Amino acid sequence: MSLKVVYLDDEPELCTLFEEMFSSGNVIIKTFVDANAAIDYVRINPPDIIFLDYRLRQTTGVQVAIKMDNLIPKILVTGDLTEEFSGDFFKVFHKPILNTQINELFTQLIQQQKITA
Amino acid sequence: MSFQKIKIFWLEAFGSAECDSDNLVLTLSGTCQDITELVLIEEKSKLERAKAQHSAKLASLGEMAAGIAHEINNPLSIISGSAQLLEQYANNPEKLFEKKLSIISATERISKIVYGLRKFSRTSYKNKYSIKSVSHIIEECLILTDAKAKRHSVALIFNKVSDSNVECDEIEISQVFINLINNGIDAAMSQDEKWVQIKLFDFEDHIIIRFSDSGKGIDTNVIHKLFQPFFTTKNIGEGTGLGLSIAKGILDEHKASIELISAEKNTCFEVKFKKNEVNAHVS
Repeated sequence: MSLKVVYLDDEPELCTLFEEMFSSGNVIIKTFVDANAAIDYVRINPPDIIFLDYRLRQTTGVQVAIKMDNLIPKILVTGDLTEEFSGDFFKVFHKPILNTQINELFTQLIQQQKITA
Repeated sequence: MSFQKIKIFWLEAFGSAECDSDNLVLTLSGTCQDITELVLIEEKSKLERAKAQHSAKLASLGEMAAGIAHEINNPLSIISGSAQLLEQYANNPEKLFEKKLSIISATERISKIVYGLRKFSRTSYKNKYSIKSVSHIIEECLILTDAKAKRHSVALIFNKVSDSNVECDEIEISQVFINLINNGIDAAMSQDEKWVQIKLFDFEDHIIIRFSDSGKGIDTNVIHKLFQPFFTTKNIGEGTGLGLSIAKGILDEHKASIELISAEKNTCFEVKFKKNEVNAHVS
């Protein structure tokens, strides 16, 4: 059983890095630089967790989260100094994200998947 | 031992001689005026202007801090992620090279931003004039204001038709340009069409920079107050109102000018530098 992850960031290189760093047999990552493409994909292929960059072209991660299924846990990723964000987010990660933060989260989620399976 | 208090006076003296046809001095006349108070007022005014400029710099810096943090954190994330992957790709020269290039490119991005911040670091009141490319100054200002523009989905358009240089204090002129660009972003961000355009061109013996935005324009009732200290059209907490009066003061010192071009459909501020013999074109 694999963890399905969607990552949205308008910085293409960060999408590539996220996929390179965290893809594995247990974790399948789909990345997007375009918010609308991500929204359409999630509607058809709901993932287990969604990472949303806060600052996107023409919109924000908060606005994108509103347009996605509210039952899918979302993590807001931001390079801003702001501490508070509106919206219902599972966690907020500040850039640069630490590997350990993501690995711990994925391990926890995979364990939960095994328990509920 | 006793010390007497020394008081300094400033005197202005004029003298002239009246001579006959043989250039022999007939009379000497002159005036001597105590201008101490005038000089002290001028010195105090210079100091107050410098303090106000410093406050305006801090205000601008505060406004940009959040955007700058974001612009630094993204390349920092690229460096961090790429560095962590180097071990994974130890036996893959192509991937190693790719990650090395990513790190270098991201480092350059951060360097540009930090270099631009030096404009706000100087505290000396002395002006440092040197010959600078106007387009280069504008490009550096755009790097610093780009984060705020992106945040509000405002397009920054630079239309350059001049390679002229000016003799100026680059840091002060940058502050003027950043203020004008930020004002444009503030005006444009609530509109359906969001843009700020900077046009650089030469006209006769002047170098002209026009800052326009897609905002709703300036109320004709307040146009005459625009360059007054502390005047602002923004809501409380959104601006200090120091920007335009400080900008005018800086430009006055540079023997340049700033005015609102009423004939333009959109809000348009025009900054004008006079060309002189030092305005050589960039080779």
